[in-house]
Amino acid sequence: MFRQLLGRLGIFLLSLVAASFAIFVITQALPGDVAAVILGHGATPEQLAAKRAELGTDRPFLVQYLEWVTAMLGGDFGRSWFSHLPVTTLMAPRLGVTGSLVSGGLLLAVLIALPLGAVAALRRRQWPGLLTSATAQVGMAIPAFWAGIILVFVFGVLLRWLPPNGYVPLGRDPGRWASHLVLPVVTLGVIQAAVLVRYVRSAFLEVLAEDYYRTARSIGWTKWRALSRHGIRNASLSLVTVLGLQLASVIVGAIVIERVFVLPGLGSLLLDAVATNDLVVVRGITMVLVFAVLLINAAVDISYVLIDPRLRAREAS
Amino acid sequence: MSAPASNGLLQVRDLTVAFGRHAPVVRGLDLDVAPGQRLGIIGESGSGKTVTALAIMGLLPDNARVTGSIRLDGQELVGLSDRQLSRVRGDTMSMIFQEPMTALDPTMTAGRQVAEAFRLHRDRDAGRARSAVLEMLGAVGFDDPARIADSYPHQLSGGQRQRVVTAMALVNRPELVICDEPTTALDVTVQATVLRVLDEVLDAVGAGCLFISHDLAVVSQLCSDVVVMLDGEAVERGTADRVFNEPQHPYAAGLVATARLDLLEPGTRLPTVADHVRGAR
Amino acid sequence: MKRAELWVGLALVTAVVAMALVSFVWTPFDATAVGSGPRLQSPGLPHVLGTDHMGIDIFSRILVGARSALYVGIIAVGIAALVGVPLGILAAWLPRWGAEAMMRATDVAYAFPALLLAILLAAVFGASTETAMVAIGIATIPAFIRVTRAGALSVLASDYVLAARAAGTPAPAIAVRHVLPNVAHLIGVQASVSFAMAILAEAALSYLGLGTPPTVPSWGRMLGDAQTYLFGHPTQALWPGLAIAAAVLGFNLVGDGLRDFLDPKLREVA
Repeated sequence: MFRQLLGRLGIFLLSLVAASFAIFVITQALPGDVAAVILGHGATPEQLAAKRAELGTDRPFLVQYLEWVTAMLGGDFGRSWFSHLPVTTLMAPRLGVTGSLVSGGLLLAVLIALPLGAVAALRRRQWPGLLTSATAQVGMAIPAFWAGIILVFVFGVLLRWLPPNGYVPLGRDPGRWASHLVLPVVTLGVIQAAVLVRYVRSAFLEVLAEDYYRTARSIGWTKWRALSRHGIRNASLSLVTVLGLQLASVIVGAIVIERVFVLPGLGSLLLDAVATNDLVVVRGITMVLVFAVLLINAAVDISYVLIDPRLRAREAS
Repeated sequence: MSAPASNGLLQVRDLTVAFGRHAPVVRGLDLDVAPGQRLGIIGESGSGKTVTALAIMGLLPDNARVTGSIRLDGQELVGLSDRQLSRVRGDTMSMIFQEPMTALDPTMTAGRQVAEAFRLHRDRDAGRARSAVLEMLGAVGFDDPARIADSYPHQLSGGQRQRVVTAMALVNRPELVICDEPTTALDVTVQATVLRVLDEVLDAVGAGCLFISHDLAVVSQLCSDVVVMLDGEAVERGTADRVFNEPQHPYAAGLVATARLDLLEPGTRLPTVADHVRGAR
Repeated sequence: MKRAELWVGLALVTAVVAMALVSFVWTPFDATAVGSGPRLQSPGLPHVLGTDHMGIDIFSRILVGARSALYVGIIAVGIAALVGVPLGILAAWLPRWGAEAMMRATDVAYAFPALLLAILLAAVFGASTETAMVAIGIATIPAFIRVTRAGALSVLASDYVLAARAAGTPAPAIAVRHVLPNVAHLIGVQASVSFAMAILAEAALSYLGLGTPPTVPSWGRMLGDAQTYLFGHPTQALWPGLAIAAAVLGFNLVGDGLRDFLDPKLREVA
């Protein structure tokens, strides 16, 4: 068991190294001379050399990479080229916004997709199942930002039930915090649920074909209760995998949704940094987002061991 | 064919099962099982015997169309909802399936799965369920029921799993147990053990049994009466002795011939069912 | 039912392709000339879907926008397939550890969805259609590697490949003659589904201002503009969204329909 966990941890660390290296290559090596990018066209050779020394770009690439990584391990993500503030200072207040948007959206998506996926699987020949599958198919085709715009129009402009955009920190007013997050979370959750329903449906369909499902019904469970009692446990293996893989697309979805609802999250910060060519900030945020995705997927792999006794046993021996 | 008894445990009349728009796979089948009686159904794969079993249990897929009548203790089962049927399933009737390797939920201990059956119909109390489970596991021949109860399916052998499934089916002392080729997937040596255990427990519980097999020898060990099915219809029925010794229908005769290889003269060609059926169809 | 899915999908895809083709030879009004009509007209005549904030006919822009969507889709899926398919076949051939390393690498790549990669590249190279489609293409490579490898593994295990190997057929010949034709349908399905995702990604990027430049009509950017005028002119936000949804739905349905059409092992379960 211990060796297996260590192995998974090793893979996680290797992935992290690979991802961070890719990010660094793209943001540091590909643009060419970063100093020239920052200073613009009119810079003198002396100014450029000074800037390179300041940024450390006059040293070998690998040294730069290692310095970047070491600094990050110490919690230093560098300073913005634009505002000269530490990247961590810029990110800190925004983590909560993106965090609540992503976790809220994911939670809502699961809460919608589990029952609908069950209906789509158990009633797949009758109209409730066909309707669910068809709705999911259409939902998958709707761009999240369009859904957001429509929700803003209906609930923010037409009915005026909810604020159309903006954000209020939780600490200042929990009620208004929540009301500002409802539309973004619903947009993200509903669109993500459309994707999830299909996975839940096929995971449940697999369970329905299993002999143990039939055994469970033969001892007196109804179809629905046999599925909830024996189906969710067994389907959870593949569902957890899917959720891990979906996390990346939920995070990306959140970036766009933050723009739709003008939320001050990591996504808006990232897009602002792109607009000002602030590669240090872009690099820092990308690293944080990718770290979150890789971490959750490592956690998913480890959670298999907790769900499936067969794996547990294999590792015990 | 003898007139079926009217006060039986299980009474199947004119059972017809079809899937979607295809031709029926079971056609106009009549079956009768008296309390405590053991009826064998033999036939090759595709003859409709498993579909018959699933129809009685109400476990056929949604696209199956079932007509006719299935009465258990006088209660009509055809047309009941899944919820109504679920009260009967596992209680007055239960089923033992063919594939012991996959019939149990891999994520739950064997004991918990047997206990589910008990708690669903008898007593929700976990402690009393546990003692009923251990007693039943002992009855199906386990010397160490507690260890088996705490094992996950993957930790048990095929024969052990099949006995766990047997315990699940019998823990509520049902009146009718449907066995669908319960030993086919097992080694020959294990088969004998499982059959002996099944024989003993059915006796102990006093349950009637519908025993489905393609193997005439197995059926004749366990059953008093036999129905031979071919292409969805019953082609012969009678006591096991009679069908075994004086088969009437050519197909039944073929089955008997292939099962009685001990009677063959050395040097003659092995008989096949086709030898007997050719010309009869 | 499944056949109906395929037909609806094909109809939608054909409609989008037709829109793009028609826009080359005819649009009701000039789709790019600013101020060629009255601003912010509601749907009616002669502007069937109205005009936008620059006075450009929305219907004309929707027609031309189909070009941007298809253009990005074709290039992105092309990049992904050209790189992903050979790598997938290679991965099927590699020894266990090699294949394992390659699959782990695609796992890491999954942490960089198309949109994130596109944002990263846009930050470095500046936002453009080319950056967007290259980013989407690169991000789609892992999907093609996986699908191709899975299909190639089963082909390589088949008797006819064994026979070809025994006869001394060189590996590249086996790949081209046996593996490729037998995984072509899987690649086709993946291409269709990836096309849908590429259109969605392009729309999102253009909405964020990181894709197609403002001068070229694109559905995503139209939605971004429409959001500004949502209060007084909500129908503007309707048409481009419908166009995106129809195109994405079309390619998704074609993908699903093809999959079921080519793989008729429909399982019967309770």
